[in-house]
Amino acid sequence: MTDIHALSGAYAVDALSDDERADFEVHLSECPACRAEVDSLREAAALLPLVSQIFPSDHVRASVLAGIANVRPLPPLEEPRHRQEPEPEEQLAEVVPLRRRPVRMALTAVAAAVILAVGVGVTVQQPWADDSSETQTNLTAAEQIMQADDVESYAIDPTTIGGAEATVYRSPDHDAVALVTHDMAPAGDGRVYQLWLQAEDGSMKSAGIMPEGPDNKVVLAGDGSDAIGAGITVEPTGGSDSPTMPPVALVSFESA
Amino acid sequence: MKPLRSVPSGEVSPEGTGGRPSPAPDQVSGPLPGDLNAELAELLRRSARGDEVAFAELYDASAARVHGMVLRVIRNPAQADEVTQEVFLEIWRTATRFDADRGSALSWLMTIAHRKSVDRVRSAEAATRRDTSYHQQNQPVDHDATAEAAHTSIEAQRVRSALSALTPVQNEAVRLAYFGGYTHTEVAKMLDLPVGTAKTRIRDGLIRLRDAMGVGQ
Repeated sequence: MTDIHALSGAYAVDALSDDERADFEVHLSECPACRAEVDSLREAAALLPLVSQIFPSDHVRASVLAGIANVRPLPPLEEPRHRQEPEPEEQLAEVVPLRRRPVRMALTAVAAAVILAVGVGVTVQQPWADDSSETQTNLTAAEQIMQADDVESYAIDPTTIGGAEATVYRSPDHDAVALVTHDMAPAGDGRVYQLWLQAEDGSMKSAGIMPEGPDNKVVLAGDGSDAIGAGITVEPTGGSDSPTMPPVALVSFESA
Repeated sequence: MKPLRSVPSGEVSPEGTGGRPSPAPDQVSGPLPGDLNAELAELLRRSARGDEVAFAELYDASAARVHGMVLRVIRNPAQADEVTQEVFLEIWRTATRFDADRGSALSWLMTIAHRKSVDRVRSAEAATRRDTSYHQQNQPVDHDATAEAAHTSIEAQRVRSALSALTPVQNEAVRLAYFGGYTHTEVAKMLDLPVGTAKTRIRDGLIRLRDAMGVGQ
């Protein structure tokens, strides 16, 4: 896809399909120029509604103001301001333990044994939390999840994915799930790997299509805040509305 | 009807929103973007620390813009109310994630609101498609050409004038994408454009609008 940059405008006004959006967000995490362009085009788009302003009814205001009492504001992202941060020591203190955080192999082994437990992903809903903070920190959205304080990791049994390495990372604080793969074999001609989030009722919701290539770091798309697990299936190119084959990997979230 | 405050930033009152007069409907455009954005950014920062009074002010200063857009995309007033409510709860929940280095407060708010609106219309559509019935969602398609005529603020005039500098196709593509909630692929079909060109029209149109309005530089 050589002209992926050209999707910046459509992305800025939410005019991409879910799959395109997921792909473009992967691209955004690697392309500062596109991030800057998306930001600037969102500024322009935000002016469009000026021509139609309408106050909601009073009951909406009452519900909102009553509702916030029950909602805990999220904590700030871990490393949004590296550059201005006066205390680099503290930054390191935060980051290092996270990197050392061991993958929970034992748990993963259990998950792999009970292979039909799928993992869950959650989507980052922030308009730019998913791609913004790495502007300043050079962390991709996936890396932010991997380094979150509350990250949980679930290694996928290599025997189910042709000896590849794949790990699902989940951060409840970020409301997000990422998948990191190494040496993943191609899904095959006319086929793609599709990612899924599992809802509480067991149903699977598409979380995007994995970009081609053996090594990927992707953030699962979709509203995963209620997801209880995540999975990978092989689907025809273009993806499917629901899984058409048994998952090649499924993880269940620990604290879903 | 809630008051939209027009105090300059820096005079943000901690006393909440009571007691101010409601504006006449044609005054809802509020302060110019610079002032409004500084005010919204400050209110967001305070909201992020759990300041509910600041959040109420934030609501009053931005609800007309947010809801006007949500209603235009969703069309069904009851559903639009729901989405506006969800949007503000999301804003409250995620206020710490606002990053002034990345863009304006208004852009951040509208991005959240637009994404939620589009998600809603698309999931409603998907649900309809799953239904075997041919019943349309009972979303009244009351075309709101008048909504645009209703607002005559200087700022709205600037936006309209900037939009008129777009080519007709750019203009249509941006509107269908932004207010219609259609994907660029759908926009291409609706405008009879070759596959893959609507995204370029949308991007070119937004760039032209951005440059004409002098934002996002």
